[in-house]
Amino acid sequence: MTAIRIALIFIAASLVLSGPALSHGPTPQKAAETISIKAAAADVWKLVKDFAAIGSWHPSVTVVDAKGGNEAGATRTITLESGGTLVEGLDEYNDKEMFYAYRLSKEDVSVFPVSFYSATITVQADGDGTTVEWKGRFYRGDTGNFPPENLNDAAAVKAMEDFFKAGLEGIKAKVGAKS
Amino acid sequence: MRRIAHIGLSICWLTAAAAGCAKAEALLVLSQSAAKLSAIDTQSQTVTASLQLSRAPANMVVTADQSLAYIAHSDFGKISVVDLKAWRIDRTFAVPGSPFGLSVSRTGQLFVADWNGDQVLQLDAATGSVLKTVRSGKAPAHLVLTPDGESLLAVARESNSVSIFKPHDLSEMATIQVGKAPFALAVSPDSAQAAIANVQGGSVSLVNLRQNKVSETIEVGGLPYGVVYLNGGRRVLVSNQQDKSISCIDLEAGEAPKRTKVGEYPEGVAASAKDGKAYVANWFSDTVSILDTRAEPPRVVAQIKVPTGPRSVAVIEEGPSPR
Repeated sequence: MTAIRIALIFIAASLVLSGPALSHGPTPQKAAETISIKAAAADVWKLVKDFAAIGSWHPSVTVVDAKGGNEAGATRTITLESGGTLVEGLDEYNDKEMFYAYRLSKEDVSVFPVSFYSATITVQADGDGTTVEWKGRFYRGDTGNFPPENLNDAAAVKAMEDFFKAGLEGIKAKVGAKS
Repeated sequence: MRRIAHIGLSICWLTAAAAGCAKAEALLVLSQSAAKLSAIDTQSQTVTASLQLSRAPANMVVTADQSLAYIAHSDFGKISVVDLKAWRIDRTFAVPGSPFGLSVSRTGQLFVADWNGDQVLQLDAATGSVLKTVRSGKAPAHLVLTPDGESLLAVARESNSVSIFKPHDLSEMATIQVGKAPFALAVSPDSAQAAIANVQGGSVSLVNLRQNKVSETIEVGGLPYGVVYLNGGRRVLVSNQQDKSISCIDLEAGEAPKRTKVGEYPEGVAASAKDGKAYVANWFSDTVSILDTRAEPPRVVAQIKVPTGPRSVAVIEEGPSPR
């Protein structure tokens, strides 16, 4: 078991270090979603704050294999409900200001039609409640000039927006269930 | 041709006091999502003109005489040529592949990086016809001619390198490994040094162009996407997308560069030679930050709302005068 885990970590690390064929393309797209939650910001942040914890609140994420905690450079490999995995790296973490920023370091456009993204999730107090904001900048799955419909800009925007919306609803549901 | 331009400027200068012909410096802003080119009067800090372009303009370059802007529509294999005085699209070229990086010579050649085709093209800047092509590294992004016109530098994002070509025949003089995923670059006014922003590396590689080697690698913020020289080459300003900031590198001081917060996902940067102002396009915020670079570190003095998805900015000495 331990040996398998070490092997998996090694494989994940080698994928990152060997520089996968992340494609960026010339024209980025953007997505931004927010949700209002009737709960204290500190409680919402407590749920969201750990980079490794996305599986506990995002309904589309089934398994998370993370290392490095909440330090810049930490990674998480997320397995999506639809199958397939994405590897993400933590860029910036700010506990006081309640946000973290990360980027895609290993894509799988067959399950998530985005070739590269960077994103930030931010928790903000808003009166008695809380606003959670999730923003990302990204490139379509096929960055060539003639992408098939499932890998074009519209598909990428939809995938990102759907992922953000589902995650924010997941946070709201989870916080609501607790309080 | 050049003489005519000089005469034109002289007439303007001579009559400036009498006829109110004083040049009003302008900032050009290219917005990808809105597909617009805007001109901002840098004194009043207001948008004075806006031009609708065809879809997804991703990058632009202005000719040395500031009469034209070449604008790349990378996804559609197209370049628009905008007459900046008349403020209209003068002509469009169909260009092979995914044109992104642009640089234009004083001798009538337009150089284009074909992002997906891994090549650099030399076009006739007047007609758009392809004169020469050369293989580059993988995913060439921005490219730039040195001010002395002797070299053409193209960074290859997926090869982690910069290639240096002779502009007239595109023969390769050198390829130099830099940091991870270089995207933007600038050359010092004396043509002796290039500053290359490595997106994934979070660093700037300084390349000595006399020796064709990296002289120094300086850590900046996360995901640096834009770079420009200031103070005649003494400082370098870099935009950092990931941490919403700019870094200002003092090349003489040799200290870790200080950062200044700007808008979200800053990309293109430009500086005025006139008043020490620098401009940063904030792609996600749909704003341009105006920085006073005479302050140490540079300080944001204003943020202007611009059409959605601003990526590229350029300062011109005199704004458009559309009829």
